[in-house]
Amino acid sequence: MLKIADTVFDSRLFTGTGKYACANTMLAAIEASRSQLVTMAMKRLDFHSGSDDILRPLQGSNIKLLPNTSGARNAQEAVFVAELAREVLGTHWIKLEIHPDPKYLMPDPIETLKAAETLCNKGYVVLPYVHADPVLCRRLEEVGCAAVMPLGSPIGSNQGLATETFLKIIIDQAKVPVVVDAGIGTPSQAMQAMELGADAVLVNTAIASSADPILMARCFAEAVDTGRSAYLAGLGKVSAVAQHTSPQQAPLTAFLD
Amino acid sequence: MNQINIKVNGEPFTVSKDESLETLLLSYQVNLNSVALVRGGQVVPKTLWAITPCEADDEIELFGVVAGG
Repeated sequence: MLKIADTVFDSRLFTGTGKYACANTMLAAIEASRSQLVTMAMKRLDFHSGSDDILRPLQGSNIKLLPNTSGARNAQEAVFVAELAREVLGTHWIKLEIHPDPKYLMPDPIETLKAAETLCNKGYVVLPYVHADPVLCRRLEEVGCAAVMPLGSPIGSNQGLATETFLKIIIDQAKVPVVVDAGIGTPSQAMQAMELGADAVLVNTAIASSADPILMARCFAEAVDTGRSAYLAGLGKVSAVAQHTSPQQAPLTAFLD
Repeated sequence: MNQINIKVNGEPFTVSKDESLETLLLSYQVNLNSVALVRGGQVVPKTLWAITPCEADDEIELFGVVAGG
């Protein structure tokens, strides 16, 4: 069972609400994913353009909402966005993300650590989105983060676990749950993250931008379950040379000599 | 002079003097449970909206939730 702060999750697949063609598809995909934690963003209201109310149907479910600080360019702005989110959603959970660079959306480690410390001190449950940096993840744990969310590859890029070597180190060291976030593009990549021992994965683009998001959400749910089971079962050792699977005895055809 | 000028999300707006933040929000037809209100750079908690009057030249920002990852 996965536990983050005081909350237990049956599902190890977290999902986002972005990039869906419409709110109904999003809700159906989230249901198919069996996700119990979904992310959303904060925005200054625009009275000139209507938008689907994604909040009301989600608030009526037993899904936990995880607002993010996307759009914040530094620690101060991220803390401000967390306060807005708490005001709107009544939650002190926050996905801390600070990525000022619009092209690669690389998280700023210095501002993230600064904001994490401030938010933890204010009583927030902080889940920081970071590069797969084992040292930074330890520092974030030390300031009180409830989990760490290292990236597999750039947000929305579907490039998979480009950071695998470092994810392994993070998973090995972490005393808080490790959620692999960003870049997971296929169910097999989500499964791979779970096989490595990640506690959960967060997937948005790969589901939302698929031709059939509901079916894809189900595929991810199954892949995450399988990957977790494989991790618990214990993967076999990797060897550079072949290892016999059949009994080794005197050569079977020795009598022909 | 019973009217005062304020700005809401950067746009000019006229309200009655002593109108509360809550009444202002109701005129925007937003769901009060899904909005955060910032005045002069500070978040004003929901519990204070009904008892906080708008003041001349207030700059008010309203935030809500949108889809995101």
